Amino acid sequence: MTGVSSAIKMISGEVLFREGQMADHFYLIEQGSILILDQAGRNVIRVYEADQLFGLPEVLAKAVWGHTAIVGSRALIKTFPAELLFQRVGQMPITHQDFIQDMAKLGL
Amino acid sequence: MKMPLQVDAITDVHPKQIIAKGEAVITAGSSTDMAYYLLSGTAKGQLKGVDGQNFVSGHVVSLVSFLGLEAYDNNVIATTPCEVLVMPRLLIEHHWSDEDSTSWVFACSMASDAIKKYQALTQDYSVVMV
Repeated sequence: MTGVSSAIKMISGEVLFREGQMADHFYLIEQGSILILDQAGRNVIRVYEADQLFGLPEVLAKAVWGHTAIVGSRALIKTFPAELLFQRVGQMPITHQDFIQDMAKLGL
Repeated sequence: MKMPLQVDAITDVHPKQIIAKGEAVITAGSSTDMAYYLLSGTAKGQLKGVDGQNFVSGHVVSLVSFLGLEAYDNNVIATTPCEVLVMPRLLIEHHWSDEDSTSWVFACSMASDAIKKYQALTQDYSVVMV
């Protein structure tokens, strides 16, 4: 999947995405951390760190982000477009496609 | 939730456990190096003494925890006598990845994410800005 991904470097406090924006990419953190904030933007409700992939359920559901994500510590992040996810899931055996969709519902 | 694998193809060579009603199929804190596939019987998850998810034959018990955690987070108790197939994680990963390697990565990632989101609902937030 690396052929169509891109990598971005971000510094602490930068916004990766904001609540209400379309979830049109998912992310792999290569270095650093991402903090997911509550809707007031004051509290951290989740942390994603190096080697963690996130955003799959929201992208699969063609949803908007429910929360704002900011960089916790200087980060190198690989971004993957939604089209790539749909294409890749579409290539899976049907039983796997169904399973991935069920897992995505759990994560929303 | 059922695994997207043909478990029949890998069942013959692995040990089966018979677990009596009321006994633990999985104990919270045990490693997810092993998966527990329910061949027959029923079981129920318990968190801090509260009943949770029901499992029936054909289920991998606590599949989301198996995929997303290093250790099981709930006890699972047999509610009828159970026949359980115990399978190493690496074996499942191997068979799963043979069918589709990205599916395994996505499944583990989404399981971990779902658990994080659930935990966020049940734990206190940490304040970062005042």
